[in-house]
Amino acid sequence: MLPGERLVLTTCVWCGTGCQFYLRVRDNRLVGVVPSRSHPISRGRLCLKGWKSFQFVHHPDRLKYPMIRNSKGQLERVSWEEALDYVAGRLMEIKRKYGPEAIAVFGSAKCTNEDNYVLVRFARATIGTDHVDHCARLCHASTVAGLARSFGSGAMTNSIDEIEDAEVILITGSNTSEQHPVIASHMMRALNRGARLIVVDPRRIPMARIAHIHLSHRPGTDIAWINGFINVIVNEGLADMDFVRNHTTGFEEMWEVAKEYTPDVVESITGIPKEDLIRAARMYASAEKAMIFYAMGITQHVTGTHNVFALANLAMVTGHIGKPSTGVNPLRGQNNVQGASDLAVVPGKLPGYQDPTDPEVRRKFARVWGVEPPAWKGFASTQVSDAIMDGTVKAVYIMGENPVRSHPDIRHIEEAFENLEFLVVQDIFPTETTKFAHVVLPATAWGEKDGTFTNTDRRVQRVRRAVAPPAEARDDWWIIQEVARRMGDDYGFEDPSQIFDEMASLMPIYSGISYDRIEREGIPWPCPSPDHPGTPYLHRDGKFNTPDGRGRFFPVRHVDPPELPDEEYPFYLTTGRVGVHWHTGSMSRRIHYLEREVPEPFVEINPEDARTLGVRTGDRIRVCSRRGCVEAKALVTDTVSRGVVFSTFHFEEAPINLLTINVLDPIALIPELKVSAVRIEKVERNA
Amino acid sequence: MLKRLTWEQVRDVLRNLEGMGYTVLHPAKNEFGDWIPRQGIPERWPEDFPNYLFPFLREIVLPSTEPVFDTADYRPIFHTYGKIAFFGARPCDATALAYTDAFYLERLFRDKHYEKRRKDLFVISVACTRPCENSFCRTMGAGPFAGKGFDIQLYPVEGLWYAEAGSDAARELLRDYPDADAGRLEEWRKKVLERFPLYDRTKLRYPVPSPVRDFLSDRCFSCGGCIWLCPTCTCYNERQPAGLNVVVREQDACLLSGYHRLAKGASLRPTMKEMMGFRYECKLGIGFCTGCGRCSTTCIGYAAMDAYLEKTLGGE
Amino acid sequence: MKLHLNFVNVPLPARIVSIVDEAPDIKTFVIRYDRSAQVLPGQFVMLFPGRLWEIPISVAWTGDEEIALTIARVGKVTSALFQMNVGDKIGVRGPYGRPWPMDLLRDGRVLFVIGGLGLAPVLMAFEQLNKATLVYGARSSRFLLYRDRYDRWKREGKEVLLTVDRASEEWDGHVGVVTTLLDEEIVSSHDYAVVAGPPIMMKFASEMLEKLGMESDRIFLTLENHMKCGVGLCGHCRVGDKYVCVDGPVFSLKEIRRLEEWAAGEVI
Repeated sequence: MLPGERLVLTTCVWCGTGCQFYLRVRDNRLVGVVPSRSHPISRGRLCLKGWKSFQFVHHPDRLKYPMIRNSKGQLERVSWEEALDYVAGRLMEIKRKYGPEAIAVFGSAKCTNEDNYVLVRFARATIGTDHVDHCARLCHASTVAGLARSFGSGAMTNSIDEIEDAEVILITGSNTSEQHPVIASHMMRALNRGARLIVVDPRRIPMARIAHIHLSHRPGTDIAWINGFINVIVNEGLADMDFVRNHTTGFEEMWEVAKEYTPDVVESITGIPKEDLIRAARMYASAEKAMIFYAMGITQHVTGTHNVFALANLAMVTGHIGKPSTGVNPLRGQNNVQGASDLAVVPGKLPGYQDPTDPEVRRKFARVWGVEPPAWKGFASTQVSDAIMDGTVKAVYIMGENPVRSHPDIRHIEEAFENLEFLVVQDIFPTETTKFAHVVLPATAWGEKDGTFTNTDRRVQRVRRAVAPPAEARDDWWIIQEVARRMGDDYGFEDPSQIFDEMASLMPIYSGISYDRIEREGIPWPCPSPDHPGTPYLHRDGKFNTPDGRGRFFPVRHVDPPELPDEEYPFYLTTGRVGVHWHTGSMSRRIHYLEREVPEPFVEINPEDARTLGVRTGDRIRVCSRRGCVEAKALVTDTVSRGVVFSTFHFEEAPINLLTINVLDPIALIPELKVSAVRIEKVERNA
Repeated sequence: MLKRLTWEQVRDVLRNLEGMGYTVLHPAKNEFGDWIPRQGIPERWPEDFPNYLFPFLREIVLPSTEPVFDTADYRPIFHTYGKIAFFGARPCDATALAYTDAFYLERLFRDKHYEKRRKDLFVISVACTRPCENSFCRTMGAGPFAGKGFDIQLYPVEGLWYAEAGSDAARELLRDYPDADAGRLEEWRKKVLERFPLYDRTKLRYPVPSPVRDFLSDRCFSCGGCIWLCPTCTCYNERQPAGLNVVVREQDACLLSGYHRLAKGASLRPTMKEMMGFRYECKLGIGFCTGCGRCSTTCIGYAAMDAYLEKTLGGE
Repeated sequence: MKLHLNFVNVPLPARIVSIVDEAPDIKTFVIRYDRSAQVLPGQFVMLFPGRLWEIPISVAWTGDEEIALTIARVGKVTSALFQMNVGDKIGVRGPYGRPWPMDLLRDGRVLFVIGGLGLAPVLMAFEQLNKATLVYGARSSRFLLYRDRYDRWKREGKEVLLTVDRASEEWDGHVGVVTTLLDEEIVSSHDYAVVAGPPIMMKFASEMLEKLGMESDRIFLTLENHMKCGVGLCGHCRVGDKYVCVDGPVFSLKEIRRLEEWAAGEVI
C-alpha cells in the first residue's frame, strides 16, 4: 500500500447486501475506501454510502465517555468503574424488586453477531428476561414469521450471486436500486443477459423506470394482487401442479380463497389494470428461473405476515423455489439484521431459531450459560411502550438503537420512556433516545471493532477493526460482559473469536463456521460442520425445513389498512428511505456527501395533486395525521401516484413517525408504517 | 533513448531508485486476491497483472482527501507520501498522469500541492500485452503503450525488457545499459497492438446522442464510483470537516446532485440527464478519457463507458 | 507570506474593518487586504469566514489596502459571515477572474442593465467610465444598493434610471421589472451593454437588448457559476469547455451562446 497507509478488509456497515471493501488507514484515521474486485458480491462495486462510509466514524459528536444523569437532570461524565457499578446495581435492584420480567433489552442489527450474542446471553441468562428484541421487528418480523411457517426458514432462499442467471425478476415493496444498490446491480446484469423485470410498487421507483412491466397498486393492497397472480396462473394452467402435489400442503384451502381474486376483482381493489396483471402473471409463471425480491413494502403492514404468506404461495404454486436463481428473497435492511435474528435477539426464540421450550435445547444452553433460559415469551419492542405504561416493564437496556425515532407514533413512546425507572443506552452518537437515558455508555463504532456480520443471503463475513476508538469508547460486548460480571455472571470472553466459537457451538446452523474459515471469504449458513461448504440456496429439490418437509400454503384475504384516506385526511402517506440516508440519520447525516445529496426533509407529491393544492417543488408544506403534524419541503414528482404522498424517517426536523399509526400485525407485531391517512397544507411564509 | 535490460537489471534500476531515496511500489496480489501496490523490489513481474482497480497513481499526486490549510492561522498543510517510484504503472494511467499534469501545472494557476508531489514521483510503466476487462485504451490513444506520462516505459520483448526513457532522470539511470533495436520493438508493438480492439474514435465524441444519454441516466445510481476510480477525474471540493481545524480538499463527483447545487438550494443541473451530459462533456468532449475501463467495472448500473460504447457503436 | 503565495488554495489572513447594512439581509464588508490595488473591475475574491468553506464574492469597490464586498445572506457560509464582527480575522484569496473589458468599454457609451445585487460586480466599472447609463432594478426600494452614490453619479453626468418590482409608500418612481425601462432609443444610443443580476433577469435583459438591436458580442454579462476554488482547478464552475472562474466570470453574450450550445451538445 502507499507509504504510511494500510488497508483493512471489512464488511460494509449499511445495508444487508454484505459488500466488502478495504478501509484506508493513515495515522489512526480512516481516510478512504478501496473497493475489492475479488469479493463475490460487491465485485469492485459500491454505492455512495459505501464509498463514504468511513466519514462518520471520526465525527466529533461521537460519545466518548460514560455518563450518568445527575440530580439536575443532566448527563455527567463518570468513570467506567462508576458507570458499570451503577448499571449493574440498578439492574439487580429492579430485578429483585419486580422480577426479571420487568427488564427489557433491545439489541441492534448494526452491531456484530458477537455483540448481539453477548447481549442475548446477558438478557436470558444473567437477567433472566425474554423481553429481547431489535429493529427487525420494524422490518422483517413478518418475513421471519411468514416464511418460517411457509418454508421453515425465514431468510433469503437464494444467494446474491445467483441473481444474474434469473430469467424473470419480480420486485415488490423494495426500492432496490436505492436501498440495496449492489443487489440491484446484480439484477441489472441479469437484465443485460436477457432477464425480464416486473416491478409492483405504488411508487415509480428507479427500477420501475427500467422494468418491462410496472404495476402500481394502491398502498396496502398487496394480498389482492398476489392472489390475482395466483388466480391467473391456476386458471390458465400455468401452475406447477406436480410440485404442488409432491412438495406442499394446503393448496386446496388456499385456492378456495384465491379463486375469488379474478383480475376484475383485483383491478377494483388495487387499481392495477387487469391486462397488465395478466401479462405480468404469465411472465412470472412461464419462466424457468424466477426470483421474487421484496422488502418493507410487503412487511411493514398490519397484514405483513399475510403478505409474506401470499408471496410464498405464489412461489410454490409455480414451483419457483428450491432451485438456483429461483426463490423468494426478502432483502434485509440492516447490515446484520440477519445475524441479530439468527442470534434470537427476538422474543420466544433461542440462537439458531431454537425453541426455548424444547428440553434438549434448554439443557444445551444451560450447560454453557449456567442457567436455563426463560421458557416464557417476552414482548416485542413495539409492545414495550404499552408494557411500560401499564407498569409491567420498569427498565430498558438498549444497545445501539434509536426507538424514539424509528418506532411509529413517537409521542407514545416518548411518554413511555419518560415513565421508565431506569434506561441504559449504549450507542456511538447522542440520539433522541439518549435524551431519556439515565446512563449513556459510549460504544465502539464499525471500523473500530472486530467481529462478524451475517448479510441478507445468510453469509457470515468478517468485520475488522481498523482504527482505535475515540477516548473511552469500548466494545459493546465488553461493556455488557462487565455489567454482567458485576451482576455475578462472568462470561470470561477475551476476544470476539471466543464469543463466536461459543455461539457457533450452540447454533447448529453456524456450527461449522469459525474465524479461520471465513478469514478470506464468508460462508452462507446453514453450515453444520467444519467441512460443510455452506448453503447458497435453501429448500433444494423442494425439501422444506418444515416438520413434514413440505411447504405450506396459507389462505390469505385482502383486508383494508387500519386507516384509509377520508374527507378530513384525504391522502395516503407511505414512508420509506432514500438511497443516501440511513434510517434515523444518526450516521448518514454526519457524512458530508450524503447529507449534501439530500440535506433536508421532503414530501413527494404527485404533480396533479400539487396543482390542486397550489404547491410547487420547494414550497413548505405541513403534513398532518390524526397523531400529529410535520413540516417539510414539497417535491413534486410523478414517482408517486395521485392521492399518495411519500416521505422518509431520516430527519430529526420532520420526524415522520409522529404521523404513522401504531397498529400491529397480530402475528409478527410489526407496525403499519406504510399506510396512514394524512392531509396536506401549504405553509404560507411571511414575505 | 531505447535500452535493453534483463529482469535482474530492471531490479538494479529499482534498487538504484531506492538508493536515491525512493520508495518502490510494485503490483502484488494480496491474501484476498486483490491487486494492491506493495513496497519493495519485486522478485518477478506478475504476468497476470491487469491493472489496479483503484487509481493509485492519481491518488499519489491528488489524494482523494488531503488537508490543505489550518483554519486557525491559515498555515498551509502539505500532505505527501514522500518520494515514490511507481513500478508497473499501466500505460493508460501514465497517459492519465500526463492529462492531469497539463491540467494542474500548465494552465493559468499551478497547483503547488500537486506539483510538489508530482516532482517526487518516478513512473515506470509497463506496456500491456493483452487488453484487460472493459478497456478500450487503444481507441483513446492511451494504450497498450503510453506516449507520455512515464519516466521509463518497459516492454517485455522476447524475455528481455526494452526500456524507453521519458525524462532526463531516466536517461541518466539507463545510460550504461546496452541499446536496443528500435526496429524489433516496432515489430513487437505491431504484433501486440493487433490484440487490442480499435473502435471508431469519431463516434466516441461529445455530444452524447440523446437516446444513449437517456439510457445511461435511467441506470445511473449516483454512487460516484466511475469518478472515484477515474484516473483523470480530479474535481474537488474544499471544506472544513466537523470537529477539525483544517480545511480539506476532497475529490468531488459530478454525478452527485450536491455537486451542482447552489447555496440557495437550486441546482445548475437538476436532472440526471444534465449531470450525465456534464460528465461526458468532460470525458469525451474535452477529452480526459483514457479507456482504462475502471468505470465499467465499478458501475452498479452497467451504464458506464462500456454501455456508452455498445450503444453508440451499435454492436460493432 | 512567501509560502502562502505558493499555495493557490490557501487564503491569506485579513481583517474586517467595517460592516455596512445595505438592505435587509445584505451587508457590505470592508476588509483590510493588502492586494487591493491588484483588483480590476469585475474580479472576485474567495472569502473564508474562518470555518465551513470558501465562497466567491465580487469586489464592489477598493480603497487603500481595502476591499469592499457586498454580500447577501443565502446559505451556510454567508450566514456564518453575517455573524462576524468588525476586527475579526477573515481569509481572503485573489483577486481572480477575467475583468470587464474596460479598454473596449472606454471607447463607447455603455448601458448598464442591472438587477439587485448585480450592482456590486459592476460598481467599479460604472464609476470608472465617463459615458455610462445605469438602468437598475430591485425587488423594492429598500433593496436598491449604494443609494448615497446616485446623486454623485448624476452630477458626473451619468444617467441613472431606477425601478422596483413592488411599489411601496416611500417609492414614487418607476415600478416594473428592469427590462420595462429598455427601449430602442436607449439601446441605440449606447455602444455596449453590461448586464448583471439574478440569472433569470440576465437572461431576459440580454435577450431584450439583442432584440432591440445590440449585437451579442457587445453585450457583456457576469456569471457567478458555483465557483469553489477560483483558480480553474476544482471543476465545479465549468460550462462547456470553459472554467468560469478563470475564463470568466465576464463573458460576452456571444461567448455564452457558444458555451450553451456546446453544453447542449450542438457543437463538436
